[in-house]
Amino acid sequence: MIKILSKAKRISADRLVSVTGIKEEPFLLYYHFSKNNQLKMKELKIEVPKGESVESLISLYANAEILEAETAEMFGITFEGNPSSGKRLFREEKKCTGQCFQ
Amino acid sequence: MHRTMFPIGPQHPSLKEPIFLKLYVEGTVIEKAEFDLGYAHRGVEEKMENKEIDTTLHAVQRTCGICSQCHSLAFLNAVEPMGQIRIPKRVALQRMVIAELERIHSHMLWSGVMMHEMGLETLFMYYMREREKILDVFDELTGNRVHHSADLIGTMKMNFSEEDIEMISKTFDSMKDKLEDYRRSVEGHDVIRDRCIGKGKITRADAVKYGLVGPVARASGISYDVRVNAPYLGYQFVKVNPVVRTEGDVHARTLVRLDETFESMRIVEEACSKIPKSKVPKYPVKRIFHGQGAGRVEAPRGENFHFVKIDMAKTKRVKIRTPTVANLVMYPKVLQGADITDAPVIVMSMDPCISCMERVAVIKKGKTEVWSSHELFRGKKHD
Repeated sequence: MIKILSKAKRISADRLVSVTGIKEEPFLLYYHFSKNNQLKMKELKIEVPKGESVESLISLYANAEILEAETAEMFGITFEGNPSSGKRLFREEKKCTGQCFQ
Repeated sequence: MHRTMFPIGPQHPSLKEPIFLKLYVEGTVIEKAEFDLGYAHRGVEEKMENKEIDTTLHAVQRTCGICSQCHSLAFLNAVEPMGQIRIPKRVALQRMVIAELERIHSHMLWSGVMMHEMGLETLFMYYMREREKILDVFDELTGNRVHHSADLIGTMKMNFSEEDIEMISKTFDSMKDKLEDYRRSVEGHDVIRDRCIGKGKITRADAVKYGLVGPVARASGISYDVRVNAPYLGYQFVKVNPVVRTEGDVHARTLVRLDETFESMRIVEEACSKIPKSKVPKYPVKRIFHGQGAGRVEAPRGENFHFVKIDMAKTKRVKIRTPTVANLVMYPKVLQGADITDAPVIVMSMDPCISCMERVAVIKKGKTEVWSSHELFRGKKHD
């Protein structure tokens, strides 16, 4: 599991704005944070090798639940500690496959 | 007593757009709420991959069926800095005028639908009649009523003339008295007060914890508005006074939106008076080949975020985080403990825009959950 909680804590932002996945090799995850209400956002970039899971930021930011769930379902990335990961947006099988983008 | 699951949607008279709300009720009190998505998926993000930037801009403007300009501006805020494109004052102010007119028509649409939810059909008709005037203004300014398509990379397709500005001013003059009258009705109407005050309350602490945005956050005492806190485009030239209330209930969210309509009118009038005589630059201003960036704007529903990656002059990835996604996480919590008869009003007070939010959810072939007509009408029983 890729640990990112401590990196996110160091940014000490006010709010998590978005989680973006990009299908490259290795897979890229971008987190955008709003800090001190500045237009320019703080960015955290994570490389996710195939088969690796990522630590959820839900303990720091409650809204990470839906943002991570979206990435999980679109790309098949597992977010450890997110109860919605892979079952929030799909209304059929509650299973994460990540077939739509990959 | 059985714990009964009460379905609202995906197609339901009280919903503008398809979302499936599952309300688990004990008597008439909602004990738990869940939502299912995926009924309005169009795959916009995937469609924008490996397309020319201009084509992507065209698609981005059609992400939402109500607010087109806020998506266009968020995309341009991400893309234009990649090419160090400097936006002239006329372009910045013209873009802002369209964005604020869009906020007015979006809030008036919401006000009308909210009144319809409460059974006040006359106010619904009044709001929709006034909104039509703004759509006519869009028609005159851009040639389109809803999807304006006014922006280009670094410039715009038109120059607002003196006649255009006069037309905006005359339209506002014909609306202001009526809108003030409607606002007084909404604030003092006994039925509206009974349906709204104290319902669907969101505390300031919850709004901060769940990262809520837009009028929903501002009705809970959070003075956060991208136009004020991080001014972009024409907001550097025109001061915005954010509308903030502290009650956090449905009534507060209603009044915040109504007051924002008047504030937007003031902003448009001030912006129109500051538009310089120079013309907008000729297109194309500059080509962009590589880069990545993020942009955000204050849409009518709150902060709208776009992440764009460009490679070989084509968009490799566009990620859109609409304000409805940011507020969606609050739905189960705000419905919990409410009476089931208040559910449509509470949901509508969050101003959900499902079609622009659902550019991500996927409808897969394979196993599906099928409800019988009996289950749909009676609700599924859960022990």
